[in-house]
Amino acid sequence: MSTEPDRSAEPTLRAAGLSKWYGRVTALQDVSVHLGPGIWALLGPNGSGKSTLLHLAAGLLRPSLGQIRVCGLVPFGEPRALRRVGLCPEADALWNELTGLQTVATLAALGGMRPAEARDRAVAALEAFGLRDAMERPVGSYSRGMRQRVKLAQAVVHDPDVLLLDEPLTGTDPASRHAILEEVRRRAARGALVLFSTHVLPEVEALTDRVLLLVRGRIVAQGRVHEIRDMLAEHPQRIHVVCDRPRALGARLLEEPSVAGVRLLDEGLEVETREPEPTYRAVARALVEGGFELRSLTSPDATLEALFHHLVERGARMAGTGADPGVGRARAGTGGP
Amino acid sequence: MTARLAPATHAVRAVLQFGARRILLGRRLRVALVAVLLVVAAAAIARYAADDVDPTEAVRRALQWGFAGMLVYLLPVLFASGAIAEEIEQRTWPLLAVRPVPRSAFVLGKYLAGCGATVVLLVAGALAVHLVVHLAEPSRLLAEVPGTVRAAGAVALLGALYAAIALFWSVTVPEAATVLTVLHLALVEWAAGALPGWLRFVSMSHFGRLLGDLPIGGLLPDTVPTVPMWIGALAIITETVLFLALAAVVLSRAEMRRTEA
Repeated sequence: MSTEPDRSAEPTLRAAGLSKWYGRVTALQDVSVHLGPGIWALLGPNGSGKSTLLHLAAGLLRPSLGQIRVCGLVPFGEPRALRRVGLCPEADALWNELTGLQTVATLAALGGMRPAEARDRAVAALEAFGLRDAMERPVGSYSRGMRQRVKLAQAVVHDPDVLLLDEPLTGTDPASRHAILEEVRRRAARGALVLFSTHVLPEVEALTDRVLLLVRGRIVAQGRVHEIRDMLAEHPQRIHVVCDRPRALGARLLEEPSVAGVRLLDEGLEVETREPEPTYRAVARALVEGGFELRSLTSPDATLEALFHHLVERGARMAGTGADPGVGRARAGTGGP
Repeated sequence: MTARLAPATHAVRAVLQFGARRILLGRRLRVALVAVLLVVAAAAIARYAADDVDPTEAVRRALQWGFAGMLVYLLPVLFASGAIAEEIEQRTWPLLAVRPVPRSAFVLGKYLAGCGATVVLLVAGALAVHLVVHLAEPSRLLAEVPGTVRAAGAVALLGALYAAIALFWSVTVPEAATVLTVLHLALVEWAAGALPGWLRFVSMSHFGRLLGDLPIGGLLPDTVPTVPMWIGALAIITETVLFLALAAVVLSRAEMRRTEA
């Protein structure tokens, strides 16, 4: 039996009609995705099925219906698929009596490495996450953030090309977050597929603009943030313009068909629209033609967080009425980062 | 990217080392050591409390009551009933299950670690009893060794079986593994081992006592049919392999439960 991995298949994660239920509880319902190399953020409220999707991809669960493939292989009970997968589970669970180095080296050895190689790789992985000085201490003495970094180190120690991270930023301080996100970026740049669930949206936005949004076990949006936003015609957008003579600018903008309303603020004005592109053009035109002095131009609804909350509310509403909540789905991206 | 597929032997060895390390660093080893020391101390007290105690008989009683009657049940519960169940309860199982290792390697590796600890303590404890009891009469120390080794070997064989039973329950019902192991050993092995006639063959403890040349006791011992010793040994080994195979099948088909996520 060959011990060398088959890396011919591109790191991909493909689900088709994937459903998973636990007794009467439906965790995932008819999920179909095709993810390629790069960084994907898996977003959704608690209980939306994020962890279930990651566990299915990691071969810890079997689908109730449909199928999931990692690098073209069914992951459950398939060592050839699992050797290409690294998982950082959400649970803060490690063996407290082992040191950080023993933990990661042991798990590396279970991945097929010889003891000396496993130790070297474990040291390198722990160093990458800033645990060099603490790696000989028992994990039981670690802070929550350090334990999180041990979990991440074990996930990458065998150099997987599909990295599944379940809430990897939980309990981490800003420095740890920076180290974790840098490592994620580095791995994605080397061609890995990184799928991570998180609640820390600003970090997601800094890391990737490709998201999967799960609500009540269904994917309500997937693709690039701007694509999703553009496809959601009903997603209201506000544009804040701070300039001199805001009342005059507001009067001009009210004549534009793409502008739904204008509201004066303490400083400047707020323009509401459902067609952002023509409205931005109209604002620019009005500013130039009217000779206004522009101080700032921002949109509080253009952030990922605003889109997330809008989609979650929308998904929950649709699920309650039995309608398909996935109508806001952008194209499934499989390209590089 | 250099991860490799672990060959089966490598995988079993890695799991065995991991399991052994956990046992060595855990509290259960200390509990087991205290239990063994108590039995050794009890044997020494029984031997030296009176002048007319025959050392051979003292060793025999210690092996019969302390080892075949208590430690052989206690040690597998301590070392094997939590082997997989603890990983699941402590939510560390996903860290292991996601490795490219056949699930059967986890069963075998964890079994070898738990069984090894059980057997080592049983045999070491029996030899310690032998040594302590014969200290006052060194002339019989070596002459009586074969009898003690035979009894210790038989008890160790039973311990290996009970470790497999404990592991089976650990894999099958992790949330109640210890309770079910204790019930199984108490009802099927201990209680049924005292039944009359053919009914006694439900329990492997009867064959263990036969192999170790220990008193078989129980209800109406004269009604129990005589069988060749090799059949008893074969029965114990077969049942051990059967429970291990069942555990491997159950674990290889097991999914992580929702509460473990």
